[in-house]
Amino acid sequence: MQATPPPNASQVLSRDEARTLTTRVLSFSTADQTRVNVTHERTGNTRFADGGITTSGGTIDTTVTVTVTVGRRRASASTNVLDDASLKRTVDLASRLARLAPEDPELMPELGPQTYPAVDAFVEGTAELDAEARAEAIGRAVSAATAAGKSAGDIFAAGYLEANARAIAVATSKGLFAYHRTTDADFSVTARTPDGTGSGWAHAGARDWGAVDPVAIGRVAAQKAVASRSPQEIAPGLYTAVLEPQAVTDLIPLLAGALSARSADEGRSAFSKSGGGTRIGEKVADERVTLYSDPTDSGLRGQPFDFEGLPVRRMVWIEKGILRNLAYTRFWAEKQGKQPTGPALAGGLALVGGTKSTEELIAGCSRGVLVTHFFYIRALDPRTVLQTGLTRDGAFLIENGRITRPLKNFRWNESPLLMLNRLEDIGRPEPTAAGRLMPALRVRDFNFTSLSDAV
Amino acid sequence: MRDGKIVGMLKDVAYQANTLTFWKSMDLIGGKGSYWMGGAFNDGKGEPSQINSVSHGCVPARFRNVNILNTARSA
Repeated sequence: MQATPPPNASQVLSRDEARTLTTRVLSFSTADQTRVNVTHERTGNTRFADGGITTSGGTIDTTVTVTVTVGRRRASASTNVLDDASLKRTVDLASRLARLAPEDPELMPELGPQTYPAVDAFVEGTAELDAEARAEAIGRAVSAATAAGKSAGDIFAAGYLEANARAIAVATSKGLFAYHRTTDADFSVTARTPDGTGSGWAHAGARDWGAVDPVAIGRVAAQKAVASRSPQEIAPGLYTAVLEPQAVTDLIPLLAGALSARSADEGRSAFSKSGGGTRIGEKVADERVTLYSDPTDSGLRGQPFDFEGLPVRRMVWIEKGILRNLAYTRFWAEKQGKQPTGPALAGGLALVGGTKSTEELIAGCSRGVLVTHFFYIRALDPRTVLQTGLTRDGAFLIENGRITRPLKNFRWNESPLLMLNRLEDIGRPEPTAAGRLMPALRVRDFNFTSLSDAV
Repeated sequence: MRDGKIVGMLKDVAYQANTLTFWKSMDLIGGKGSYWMGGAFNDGKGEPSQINSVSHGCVPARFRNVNILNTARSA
């Protein structure tokens, strides 16, 4: 028997269809405990360069992962073929592997029925963004880039537009059933000037495609490209940096690893207390900073449960600079006598504490570097959350509250956590991507370590 | 494996060989009946990151005299 295909091209697996599918899979298992995770996804993407589309594609897929527990042994197997024979084969494979697996000393029993907060994260307009609609949006962005870049000649615009609609479900042999559906869209444009020295970038991402403005993205990318022509070198070093909300979005979610309670308890994270334990209750950031995850927040609309079906609730990680909570897995929570939280960023991530615009942060800067976004970030030291990366597509010198000239890009070494202790000012939280609310920040002594030839 | 049966799972195992020597040591290879389509549903690359399903189908094969390492043993 095949799962009934959804009737409408924009639809994803419904709650009833997900329940039917998971019930069918569970019926094939005779193991002590079984869990079924289902992801049904409709994705569409279009790449473009030099004013034309280079690739366009999409996928429709349903992945079923079966996790079987025998005693304290557990294993998983996945398939995307949904006929009974394939599902049975997947259950059998997981069962055989579970019997072969060593006992898991950290194994937690599967969960029974749970209650979840209601999260409406599915937007029809995003799910309906087909190839034609994507091409139309790209056309508008490219036209806007061409017009905005005219003074520099023929602007070269390239980019990527992606829209996803997804339904996820978790069911266990103990009666748990969880279902959630969500959409997201991401659109970025990189613009280059014909002389090859200017590059600009702009991006928007949201659950609701209606919140993405292709014309603004094309225009801003081209304006930055024109403004960043013939960049000049300044010596690497510690500079005040104004990070646009997109640059902050590149850095702040990298705190996720540090938010693991186990890493902190085991002395491996920036939130480990010297001598043992965690830094919960200590000041870890500027007192204006509050960092939280909340699937029910209308600006985040995150996932209300994790892969085990554990409810994900509002978690305030840092409140007015004080570390309040860390993320506990079910195993670690039981061991430490805490409440399990699930993964740190399942409920999205918001950094709040300011009200100003990026322009006001620039206006308040006597001398500094404006950063459009970061590129190719890699971790250096988990104990300080130290990262390295590049500025890209528009770094500018700020003097006396105004942008005065384009700068050659930098490589930098900086920690998003230590940086939150050197804030001069905080902007208002802005929706930068699905599940992200991030402000612009003005950071003192941002560590730009060397020059980069990249534009 | 013992006496033609899988009897348990090993950990800290690696093998090390010269590519040509390794493939020359193969003395059995599976056929249609043992072909297995494996892969990953979430192979990702790029900036912005993009995710694709990737497949890798193969048959099992047997190799003789392979240098097996215990990666947990310190020198």
